[in-house]
Amino acid sequence: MFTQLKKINTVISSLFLSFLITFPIASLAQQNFDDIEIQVLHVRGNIYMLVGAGGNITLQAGDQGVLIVDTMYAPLSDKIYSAIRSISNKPLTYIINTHAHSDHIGGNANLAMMGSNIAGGNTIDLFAGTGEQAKIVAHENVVNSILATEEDQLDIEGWPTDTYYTASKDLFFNGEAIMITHQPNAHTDADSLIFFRRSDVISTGDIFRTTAYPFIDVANGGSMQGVLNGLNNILDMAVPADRQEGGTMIIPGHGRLTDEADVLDYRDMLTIIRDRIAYRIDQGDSLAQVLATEPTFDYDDRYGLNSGTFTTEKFIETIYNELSSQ
Amino acid sequence: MIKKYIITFSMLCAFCFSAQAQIDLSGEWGAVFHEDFDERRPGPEMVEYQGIPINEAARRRALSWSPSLLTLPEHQCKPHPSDYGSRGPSNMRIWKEIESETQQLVAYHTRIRWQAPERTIWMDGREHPPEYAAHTWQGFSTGRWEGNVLVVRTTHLKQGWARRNGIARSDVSEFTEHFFRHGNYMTQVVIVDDPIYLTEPFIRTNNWKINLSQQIPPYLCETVTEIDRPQGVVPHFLPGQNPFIGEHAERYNLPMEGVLGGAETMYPSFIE
Amino acid sequence: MKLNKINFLIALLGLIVNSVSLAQDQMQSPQTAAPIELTGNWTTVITEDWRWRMFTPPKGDYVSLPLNEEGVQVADMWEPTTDGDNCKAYGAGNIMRMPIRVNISWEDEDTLLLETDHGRQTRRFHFNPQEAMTSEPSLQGDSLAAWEGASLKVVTRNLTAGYIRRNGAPYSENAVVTEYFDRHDDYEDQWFTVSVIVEDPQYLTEPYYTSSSFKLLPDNNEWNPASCED
Repeated sequence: MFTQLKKINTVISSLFLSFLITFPIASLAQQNFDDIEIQVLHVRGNIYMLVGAGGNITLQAGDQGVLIVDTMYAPLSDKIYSAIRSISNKPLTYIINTHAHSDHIGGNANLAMMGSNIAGGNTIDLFAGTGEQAKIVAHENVVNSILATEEDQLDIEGWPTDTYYTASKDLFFNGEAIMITHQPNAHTDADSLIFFRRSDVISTGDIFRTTAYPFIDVANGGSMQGVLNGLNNILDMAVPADRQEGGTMIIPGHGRLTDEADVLDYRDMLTIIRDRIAYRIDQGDSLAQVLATEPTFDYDDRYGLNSGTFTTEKFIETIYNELSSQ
Repeated sequence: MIKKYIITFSMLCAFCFSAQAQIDLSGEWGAVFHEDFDERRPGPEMVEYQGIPINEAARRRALSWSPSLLTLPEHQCKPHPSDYGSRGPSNMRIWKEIESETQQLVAYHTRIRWQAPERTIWMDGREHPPEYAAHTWQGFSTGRWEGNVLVVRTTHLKQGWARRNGIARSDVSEFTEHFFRHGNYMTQVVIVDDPIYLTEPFIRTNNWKINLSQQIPPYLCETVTEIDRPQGVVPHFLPGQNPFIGEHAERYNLPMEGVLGGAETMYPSFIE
Repeated sequence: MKLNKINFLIALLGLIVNSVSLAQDQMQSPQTAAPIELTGNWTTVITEDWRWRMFTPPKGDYVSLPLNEEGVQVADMWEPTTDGDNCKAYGAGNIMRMPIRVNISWEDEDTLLLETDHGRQTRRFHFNPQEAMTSEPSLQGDSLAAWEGASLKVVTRNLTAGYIRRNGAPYSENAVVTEYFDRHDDYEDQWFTVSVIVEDPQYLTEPYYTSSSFKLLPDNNEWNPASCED
């Protein structure tokens, strides 16, 4: 299967010539992981959140095995595996990827090879290695993004093994339904929201984070409206327990554990910023003029970035371009 | 034998040292609204920011705030966060949690009437959670005694408000309280430190008086759709379009530079 | 018998230690015995009741005040053109609510002195009851002070009538003002908060209870005296 996919690579990559997963990989090259410790936070029941460097990991552990959402960076795999073992001795059976950025899938190969799954039927004799690694589940656009990467491409053992191209995909694992929903054109066009139905926990990937404005990866199909759609979907799915607190717990791509009220504040902020920029565009403002109005000023100290690939200015420019093209 | 002598001597010396006994804060406390009645009971007016050390980001954000935001179902049942709860139209109950075997004080708990938030002030020396733990409306509070004053530090707060007319208080804030009890009176000093929206720590005090006949009723809240709107619409005012600017200043004949807030409005130099 | 004698000696020793300890406390002057430090230059920080404290509110604005019917009637007689901002608002019942800076010092080991810049008022907190009694009522009255735990408690009587709000809301000459000064240090600042309880059955339905906070200044460079008659 993997050999066949490599042959398709040259065809698909021509469609994604401008795609480059540069940001996380550039960061990876410079980052020192020696001092990074993987912290484990118990969320609820058999759901945990792992925090380290890169994206948060959601972990579900039970009698059937261990399922994780995302895998951070490759150099952290041993530490992540130790953290998994501190929770459960069961095999790592599933990896679900929320999207294709390397701070979320970098550890795919390492961790998948540390896991295993039960294979049977007519796949055993057709594909070598079947059952000897964890399954990696993702929207097919994750594979497309990986294929489009020409430099430091992810090891093939880390490529998704089970992809979906429809609106959603369901699993049932460790006694609960796990609903994986494609959120198109959000942070990227490969985003999935993962809802652990019985545990009432949502993993959002980078559609939502508490650390900064969203990174809208236009090159990989991201859009501001898609991010807002994703956040509104999360709000529709989440139900607070009491007084707008608790109930559905939400694990963001980066940052602290949250619930509906935190997503609400983030959604409100982005909607207001979008509306401000849209109004200025209606008034005929150029990008420079919009930037001069400082449409994010009241949120910048909390969420803005002045350095890196996706600065506040880039964020405003991205929204401006998107709204101007409508 | 020697032990008995030591015990006897110690008991007789019980008054040798100045009494620094902790006092009990438990009880039914009625809020005394002899200050800021308007703000605390019916609520502040729009664009009334005086006396708060807000920065420009806080001001702009407050000016964009529309009270219609509170009609959104997700905003309807929010309680006041713990730094603001005592400012609201609410009486308070404080009770102790005592560990049965050791009779050690484990925690104080509080309950405020409006929206019925209950808060735990841990007195057992435990650490605050890591920074990636969930934030709540009441935050995570730990207390210690300084003589007979309870000093409380609270972190892990959700985004809240410094005044409930749109002045935001960020989720990276923390605050400190001192509970000074004098007989049947208690003064609660609250100092909020918000590096995002305040230029300096912000102090306010709330006064309480024991009310032996107080009953705090249940407070239920269920959200409803009050206004039919398309999904994702967030009421707010665009920059420069807040229709209420100047209304409060004009009504009470106050200078605009005062009602727009800022640290300079807190000090006597403002009127010099 | 021997055991009883030992017990007796221990009891006697304990009582002696107690007595010495108490005597030592009593021998210390109020200044020496001060459990908190209140001396220095302080500025009020007005974050509550702003428009009533920074400015003279309009006649009839008695929000928050527990005035009874007679108190309202007296307040309604106030005229801003003739009575606005006069010294009555700087009486002991309200002075700590005004936009002032204070300097607190020990006048002697039994008397704590509190002076204000705005209003140019002087308050004396006497720890000696004999010194706390004067013959004539005054704007600041007679203040008897005591250390109560780690608080300074001040009870003031013998007042002339004053205002609990600048727009004429009154307290009578029979009012008793009880104050608790409490120190606290937070976020690199030093503070005291004074809780003020004005009891005046003539004009108030219940004790009027407010609290005002003051922040320590590094020096007196901001000191800006202004008469209460200005």
